[in-house]
Amino acid sequence: MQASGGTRDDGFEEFVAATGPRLLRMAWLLTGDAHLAEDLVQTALAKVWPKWHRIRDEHPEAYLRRTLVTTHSSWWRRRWRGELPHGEVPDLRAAPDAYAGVDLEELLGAAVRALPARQRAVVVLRFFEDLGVEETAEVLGCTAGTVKSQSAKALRTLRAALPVREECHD
Amino acid sequence: MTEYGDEAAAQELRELRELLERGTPRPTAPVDRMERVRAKVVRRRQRRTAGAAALTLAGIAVAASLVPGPAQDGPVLEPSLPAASRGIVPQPASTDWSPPDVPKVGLTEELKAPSLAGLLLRTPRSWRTSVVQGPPALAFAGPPGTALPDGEACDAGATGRCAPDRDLPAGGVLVSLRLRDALEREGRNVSPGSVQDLRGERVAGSCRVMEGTRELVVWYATGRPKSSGASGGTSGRDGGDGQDSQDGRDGYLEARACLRGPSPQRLAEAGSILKGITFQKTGTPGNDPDDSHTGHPQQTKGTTK
Repeated sequence: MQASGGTRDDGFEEFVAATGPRLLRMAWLLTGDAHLAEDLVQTALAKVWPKWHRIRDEHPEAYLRRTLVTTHSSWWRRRWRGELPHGEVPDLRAAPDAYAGVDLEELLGAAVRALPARQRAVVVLRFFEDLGVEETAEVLGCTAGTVKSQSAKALRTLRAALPVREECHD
Repeated sequence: MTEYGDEAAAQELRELRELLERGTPRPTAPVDRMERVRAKVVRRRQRRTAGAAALTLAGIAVAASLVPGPAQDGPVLEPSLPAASRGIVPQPASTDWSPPDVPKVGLTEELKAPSLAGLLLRTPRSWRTSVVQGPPALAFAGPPGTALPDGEACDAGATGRCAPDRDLPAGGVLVSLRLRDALEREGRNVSPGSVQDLRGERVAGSCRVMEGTRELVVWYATGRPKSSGASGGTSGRDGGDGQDSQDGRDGYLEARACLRGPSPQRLAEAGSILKGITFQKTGTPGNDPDDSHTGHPQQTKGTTK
């Protein structure tokens, strides 16, 4: 990657090194697959790099996050990956210990893949990236109301699949 | 979430966040991630360039079909062809470049590139240069802040195209130089050394994808390279050795300055650089066989593909 002309001293690689691990995990949640996640990250980085000099001083993480989500959305729309939501989510709530004996990664992967793309993006942005409703709406290009409704639907699905609050409250 | 009440809902969300954090794997990035990203950037550039060219072709075809005129052989992309000969309304977007009325630009640095027919490129002091050995060999120059393509960014062996990894900054310029076959000039009526000033749709797609808005283009005869490396040449503005090649055709060096919203000063710089191109005799004793940049505090050596 040695460049002639000294074009690599602009901090982009350092930025990737710092944000890459979190970004890759976010991509995994969006795709449910490690290889697709890396491909998604690389595609997003390839879109952002040419604009780096314009965005590096203005919240580049947010720009990259938005690019990641919109890229995944475009994949979803074009069905490039042949990915479809699962019709049913494996019910693992009956496991004696929610986490013991369960491959949490597998469980979580199955659960998020069961969500439609938009709901999945809402979950990732709101509950993994800890963005607020307004910020999530901005990234997804929709209204706050849509984020709330998509969030509620997603949580209902996840509640049925994940070992969250196993005991019902009185 | 409301059926449990606020506290219960908050607890559930906390648990969900914990699950997401714990259940999401921590895969490691491949060691060559940046190389792969760079390759994606190049492919994206090339697709956009091809798309822009196709769009221009379609646009010209439509325009030609709408304008009454003599029988046409079909759309031609060459901007320097007389528009009237194509039956297309002449556009003022391509003119001979004339220097703006600004103070003369000092070209104090020199890039010597034997692999480009002995090219001697003079640039302002602060500019940077690079050479991609190819084949085909390519050279680039730009002021600070301009990303110069390198070997890894070029698909030189296959297409001779390179893509900088970012757009031109506002007011920026990228000068690119390459040897081309004389056949590619057939039918063109622009004299060697005459700088063409292209604007609007006349700007090449390879420039527009960098957000370029204006382009200065010039060519110089070089003679056909005698081998895959450097060509013979003599000092002077004509470039090459003045002899026809085996098949009777000469090669030429094409220099393009892609500019984005240039200031008069920047335009003058770019034009002066293109007008100031000369060629040195290559392959003689005492002549450094390597492409080199002299007189610059940050000397840049060529890279290899």
